Amino acid sequence: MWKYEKKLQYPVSIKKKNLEFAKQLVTQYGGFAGELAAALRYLNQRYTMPDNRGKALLTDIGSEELSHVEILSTMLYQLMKDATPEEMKKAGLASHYAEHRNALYPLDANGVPFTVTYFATTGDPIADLSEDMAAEQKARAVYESLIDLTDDPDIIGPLLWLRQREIVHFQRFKELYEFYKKNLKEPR
Amino acid sequence: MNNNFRYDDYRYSDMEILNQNQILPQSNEMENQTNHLAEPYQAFVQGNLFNNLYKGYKNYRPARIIPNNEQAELLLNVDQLCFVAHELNLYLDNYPNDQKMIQLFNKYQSMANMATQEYEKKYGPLSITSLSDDKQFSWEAYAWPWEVE
Ligand SMILES: [Fe+2]
Repeated sequence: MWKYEKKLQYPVSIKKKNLEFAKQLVTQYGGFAGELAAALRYLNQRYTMPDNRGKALLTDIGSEELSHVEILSTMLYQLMKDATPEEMKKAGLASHYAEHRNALYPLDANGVPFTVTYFATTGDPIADLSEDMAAEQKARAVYESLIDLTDDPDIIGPLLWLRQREIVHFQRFKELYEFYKKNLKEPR
Repeated sequence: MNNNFRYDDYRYSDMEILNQNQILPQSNEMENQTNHLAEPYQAFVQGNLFNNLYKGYKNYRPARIIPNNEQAELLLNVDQLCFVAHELNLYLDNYPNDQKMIQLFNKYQSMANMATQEYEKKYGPLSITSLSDDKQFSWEAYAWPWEVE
């Protein structure tokens, strides 16, 4: 089960409304390299990990990704807060307003809704961990692209931090991958 | 592992638990990691406890987090200690026999718990299980983390 903590893992306080940026940032919520896909990927893959290392690591990183979903959601909420329909229209968010007003919805930067096909589960720990390593690198790359697209320090701070977490997660997945490569009984 | 409780036998008398966790052989631990650990504040703001794993982007430096008031200061203390404990947790998932790191985990987890209690005494519960002996339902008496003041 899970326990909610009424705080963010990393603080967010965005003072400037920025609808254009929200439209790009949303991809790290509901896009192919986003935090929602990450959380579901690891939490779904963990059941068939071959030992307690894998079960622990995928549970703990998967849970951390849920708190990254919350950081992203907070950023999006603050970037869109109090935007008028007129402002939404000007930023190309008329269709978002029509369907969701100022509420959040997991989409990518092109407005494509979240889909579970952003992740896979094969039941093969080597295949699954290879996907996890790739996913962390893709998320890192997208955070870098997003940093390139803004100069608001209130946005850059959390993006740098989230990017760094991908680096740590990649390292942990890689260690586990190498451990399984060496120790699993059926050679792959 | 989970054999410290049981369900009532109801229908399946010969049920067998197949495929018990096969515990794999233990690996050699990594070279001593304790030399590379950042201090809690630095670890937290850079998003990485391990200085040897830290990789910056372009010429950006991690954002400093400067608390504006006592509440923010106490929260930063909770955040940074929880972060260190969490980083050690992820490390120990892969290297469960690293005694030095286990000791550090115990130390930082208990510091994080103390910092959490200190925060909650003044600024409200961070977790529903911290509520006890409440005259009002304080879970919703304080702001939610996505709200800007
Ligand atoms: Fe991640």
